[in-house]
Amino acid sequence: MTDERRTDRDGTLGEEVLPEDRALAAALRARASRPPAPPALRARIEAALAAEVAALGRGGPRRGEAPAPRWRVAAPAVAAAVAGLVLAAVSAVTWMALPGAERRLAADAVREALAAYERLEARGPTAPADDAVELSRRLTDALGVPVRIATPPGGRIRSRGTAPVTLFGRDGMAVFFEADGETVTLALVPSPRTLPPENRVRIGRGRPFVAGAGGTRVVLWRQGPLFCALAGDMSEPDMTAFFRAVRPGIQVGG
Amino acid sequence: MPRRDQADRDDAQAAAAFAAALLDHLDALYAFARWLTRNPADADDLVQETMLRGLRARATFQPGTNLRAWLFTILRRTFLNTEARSGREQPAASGPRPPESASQAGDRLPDVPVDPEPALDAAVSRRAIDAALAALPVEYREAVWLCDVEELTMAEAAEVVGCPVGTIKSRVFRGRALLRISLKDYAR
Repeated sequence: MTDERRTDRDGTLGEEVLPEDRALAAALRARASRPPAPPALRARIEAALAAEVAALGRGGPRRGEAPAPRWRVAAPAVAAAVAGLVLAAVSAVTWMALPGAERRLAADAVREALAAYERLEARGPTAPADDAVELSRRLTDALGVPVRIATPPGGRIRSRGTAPVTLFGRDGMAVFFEADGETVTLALVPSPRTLPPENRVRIGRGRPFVAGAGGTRVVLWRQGPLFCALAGDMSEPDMTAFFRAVRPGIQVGG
Repeated sequence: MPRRDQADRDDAQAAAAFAAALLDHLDALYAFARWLTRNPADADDLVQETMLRGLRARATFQPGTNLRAWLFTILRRTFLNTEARSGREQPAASGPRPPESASQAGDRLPDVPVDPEPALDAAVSRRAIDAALAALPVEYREAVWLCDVEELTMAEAAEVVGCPVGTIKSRVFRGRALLRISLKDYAR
């Protein structure tokens, strides 16, 4: 009896829908969780799509073409310095398996993050380290969204101060951290930019994009409306440990 | 140069129209991504990446075909590539491990009795349905989701998943049967 019905249903599935299948499908459509995209995600995606479309209108990459690297339109001196730094090390980077357009986008983001790190390192903090409340106020003012950064427990990592930073043409704020004599900068800018998922690695609960060039490691990720870039002259395991320690203390929004 | 400028403008206009069409499917993509990733942050990344890839790959979309199914295909491939590179085999499967193939699944699954009751108990709650869906092997879950919730045709769902139509039919059938059993248990 059961076998006969199953055989019959297998033969008709997709062409004639049985009443119990219809009822089940209706119940699924009506009652299964289908959370709508959060407004912040919608806004971010709209901005990212608009940026792509705007690039086309300005003579950017056309259908089937890869987008031009941002360094081509950056100040020549910065572009030359950064390009030199990255080109020297790019062969060691593992994103070569990415499709061309996405490899360029990733390389573009890494270049900018490295250049920002170089500038921050050369200039140092422009404002001293403050308590968490003052740091939060300063970050919130600069970034336009509530941001709190808690210093990791244990006392090994401490904040040295902050400085303005520019990434992807957006103004933001960088926080300087120090651990065991090494300086690491965390640059935060409001940007809808995202990175290809292929080169990301799972670290704790996050999956940031990790790259390296010339002894400098960068860890890039997006958090809410912010693009975050952690950079420092250290090994990948050390950088990963740093990310693990710092990332849980960063709260964006609400 | 003016000809190139005009071409750029035309291309930008076409891209803007395509981007607007993509946004019409944002909620559906997000819901599917949530079921695949089981993690809001990963779903955010996955959906944004899918939309950008869709815009960049608009030349490969065949007008007149199902744009939502095309986007589901991109989203699913992006998800699988990401998971493969991160070294996790099936992170989204909160239930039993998915079978390697539908035929193997058929060999392993118990015989599923067909419930003759035509209607699902109206008292079955959202939580019960979510739990029953989450307990399905991921291959069955996505097949049921695409066909029953998103109302894709079997052929479209097969295209999204990258398998023969017969395999999708089998997965949908078995997924529905397992759901009925789970929901009946909840109703008791």
